[in-house]
Amino acid sequence: MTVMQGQTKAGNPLAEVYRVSGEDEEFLQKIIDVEGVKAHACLSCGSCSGSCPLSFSMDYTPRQIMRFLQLGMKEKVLSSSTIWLCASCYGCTVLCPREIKITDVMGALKRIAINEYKDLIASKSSYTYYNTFMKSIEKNGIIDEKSFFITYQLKTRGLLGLLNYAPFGYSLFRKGKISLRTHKIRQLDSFRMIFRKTGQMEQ
Amino acid sequence: MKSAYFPGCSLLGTAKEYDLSNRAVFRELGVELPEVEDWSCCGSTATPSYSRLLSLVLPARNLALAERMGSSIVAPCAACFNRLAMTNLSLREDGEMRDRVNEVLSTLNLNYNGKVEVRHLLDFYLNEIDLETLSKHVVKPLDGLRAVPYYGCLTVRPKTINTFDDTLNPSSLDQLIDVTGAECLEWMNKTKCCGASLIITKEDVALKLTKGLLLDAERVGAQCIVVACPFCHFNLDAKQGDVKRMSKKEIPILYFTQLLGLALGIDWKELALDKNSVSPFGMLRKWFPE
Repeated sequence: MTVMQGQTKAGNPLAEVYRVSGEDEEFLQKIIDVEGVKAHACLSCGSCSGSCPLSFSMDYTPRQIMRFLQLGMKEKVLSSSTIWLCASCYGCTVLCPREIKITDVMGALKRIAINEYKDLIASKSSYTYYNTFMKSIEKNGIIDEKSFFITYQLKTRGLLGLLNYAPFGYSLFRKGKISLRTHKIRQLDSFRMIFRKTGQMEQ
Repeated sequence: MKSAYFPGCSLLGTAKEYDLSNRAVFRELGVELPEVEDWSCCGSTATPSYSRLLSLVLPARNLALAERMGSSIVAPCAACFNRLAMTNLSLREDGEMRDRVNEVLSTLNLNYNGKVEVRHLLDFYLNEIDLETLSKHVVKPLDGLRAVPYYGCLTVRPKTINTFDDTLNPSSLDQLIDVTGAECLEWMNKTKCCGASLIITKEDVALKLTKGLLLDAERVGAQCIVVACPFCHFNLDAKQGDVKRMSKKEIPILYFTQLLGLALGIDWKELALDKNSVSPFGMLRKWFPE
């Protein structure tokens, strides 16, 4: 992190307060621009960590992540287990006295990690999960639960991993909750253009 | 305004009993809702972690389809409700983003103007069908059945989209349990997350949350947990066998539409009670000896 004085390039209030510059400032700006996140407003009160049902399993609590963000500590944040353990339950967002959309911050961090910093990702299975999920939607227009699950297990744990779930899968099959038929939407060809078009626009 | 039903992907599969029981109750009440025509996946809570634009376009396709039908959307799934409503809010507030989304939708000859209302199924039962109508149809009150209401996270959060209930202490599900004659118990975990979105990637962590909920329900003396979300149901019901608890007692997890259906005198087959992983039949014997 480069310490500098005076006005920063982007006029980012956070960067000014904490004197963050260069790449770290760009990173901060990215999160602030996209989600309207007021990370600089965070008081470190800990309401988020206290309300988070998953704090116990994270390497850094949401409060710590917010603080690292203020300090522009990009690698620390993007390599944390925290962002992959966030269940997007909005508990923190509801309780934040500064109305910071913490759930959206976690979403943005996952997005940045997946699209730009794959090597920093602490949970490779989560990376596979999100990619497989999106491909499944593109393939059928809806999520076909069994195809998605089978693809994910094969990619992360292989055939043996998948076989562990065979009795469970069979019990769902017997209840008619898994069918051999794959649901698809009718306008599938035009639906898939959504993915091409958004891909082009986000380039 | 007319309403259209948006079942969502889970209700075609692991949450089939939610869809079937809801349709059965609708039939009994004479409520007819067409489906949103050729609806597609809302993108779920996973999409915002992948692409911001796509996370808005996927729900927007469905909003545009409903708008073309002149309908509001009724969603039984918490994640669908959340993504559709959050997108609706973003597109209404941010004209620039709406233009970008419509640029994508134009390739499908669709356009969204922000006119659709998105409602959770609980909201629809409570404020469209209403409690009075429901109580008139109750023929088999479930007197003495002790139930805890479990809302989970996305049905009532965040407050920007939940216009029908309190965020911290919701009561819509409580009221629907009351209507059936069952006893709705107080507990601390109404809106605590069950960890369902982590059940595939972090199963051990998710099951810890599930375990806490099951133990607490048992502690307050509940005979069953009543839910309004396919993922809560999956975690609490289908995965209950994987939760290591001291007690061997199983707790049936019912969709509120199944509970309502029973009180309305609908046959258990129509309510798909045999599709629940934890069988509710033992618990129900007192009210339905046959």
